[in-house]
Amino acid sequence: MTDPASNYDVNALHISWGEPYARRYLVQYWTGEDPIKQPTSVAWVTFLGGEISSGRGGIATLKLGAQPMPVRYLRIWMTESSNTCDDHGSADKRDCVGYAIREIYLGTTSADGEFFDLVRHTPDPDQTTTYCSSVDPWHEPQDVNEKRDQAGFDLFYTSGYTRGLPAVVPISLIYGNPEDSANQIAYLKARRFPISYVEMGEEPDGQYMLPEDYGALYLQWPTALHRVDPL
Amino acid sequence: MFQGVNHDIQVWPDAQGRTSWLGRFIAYLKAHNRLNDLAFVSFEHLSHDNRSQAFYLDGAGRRIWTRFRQRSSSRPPPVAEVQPNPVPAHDASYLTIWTTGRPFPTLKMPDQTQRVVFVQPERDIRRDRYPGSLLRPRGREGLANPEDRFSHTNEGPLITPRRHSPQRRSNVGNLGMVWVHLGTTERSVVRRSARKLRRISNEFTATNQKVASSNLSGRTILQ
Repeated sequence: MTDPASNYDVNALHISWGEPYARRYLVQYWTGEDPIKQPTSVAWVTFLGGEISSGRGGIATLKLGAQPMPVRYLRIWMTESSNTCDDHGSADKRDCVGYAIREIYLGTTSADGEFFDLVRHTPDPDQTTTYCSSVDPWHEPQDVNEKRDQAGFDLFYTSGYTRGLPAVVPISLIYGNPEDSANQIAYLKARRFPISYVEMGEEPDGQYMLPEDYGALYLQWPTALHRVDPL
Repeated sequence: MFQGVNHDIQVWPDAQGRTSWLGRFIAYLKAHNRLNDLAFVSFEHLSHDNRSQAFYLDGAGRRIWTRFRQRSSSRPPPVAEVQPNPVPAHDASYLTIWTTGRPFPTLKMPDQTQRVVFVQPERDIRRDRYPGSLLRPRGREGLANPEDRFSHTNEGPLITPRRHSPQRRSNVGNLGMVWVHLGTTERSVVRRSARKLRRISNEFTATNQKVASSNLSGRTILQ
């Protein structure tokens, strides 16, 4: 979802897709005041030219309507992925699922076909506000913030806090994958650290993730965890 | 997560006009016959708006409990409030337990404070204070971290430190840790643990590199 901070006339959208891209998606606008703070006041409305059922990736040029109309909030609701892999290949399925958008360009197209972009593309906080309903679960070594306290399971279990009793163990859900979580539990079991329960997930509502999408993850995690710990 | 509210988180309506995040989540699990996978349900309550803690916790906990009862014929799971992050006006941390009526030992790793709440509305409430300043273990120190990616090989569990999760900012992030077990005396547990933890932490700091290169069994787990 994009928020350019005020109403602008809009009738065109260019999407620069990565891999995988969306084959099926809707481009919609919000008719109420604030879809974040007042999510139930109205509903999203699909642009006249905003229903795409056979997307091909690349740079999609969409004519949203015949005439520009004032819009502030716009969302792209993607419902079918191409499941094509990015340049990392297919070794990790996370490179081949979901959706990847490199950049969007929103504005108007004049009668002679010239496009006027309203989006600020600066690599800083001044760029046009964009909300994503999920994040890429890939992380690199440079992502580590050594200035934050990050206690580990070994420290926790050997510190005396648990007094040798089983503990509830958190696993990463939105930012992770079932295999990582299963390996985490396998690691703790191999070290004979007692586990009472596994807590899955973290602040899904704060990630603007739909409950059905979160539920879909919930179906996968217990299955993977029970393979290493049938409970 | 609830912040300053005592009702469901609402989201954009679906095709049926449903806007309750929790209600739709429960409905999804029920539709897939997986509701019984949940042994407990946890939620966070961030009381930055400085309202009544008890009002929040009681209301939010009861709300979740009610949602489950409305949508499931089976007994709702225990509900745990696990990260309230009390406002700075609270000069000490809390530990609160609403007993579940059955043994439900847990630890929880809150961001800044130490509160664990288990909710079963018909039961009593137990509440204790913790000295929060004692519950700040040192950081990574080369130890296995819940946010690290884990690999499990034929040779045993290995931690691969090449990828890490941004979830370090969340509930397994800057942790204080609390062990709570029904029937134990929480305060004494924490005091004893805090002293031991500080000692361990200092030792780990002094021998960080050594600890980073070997685990208890001598197998290299981090490079």
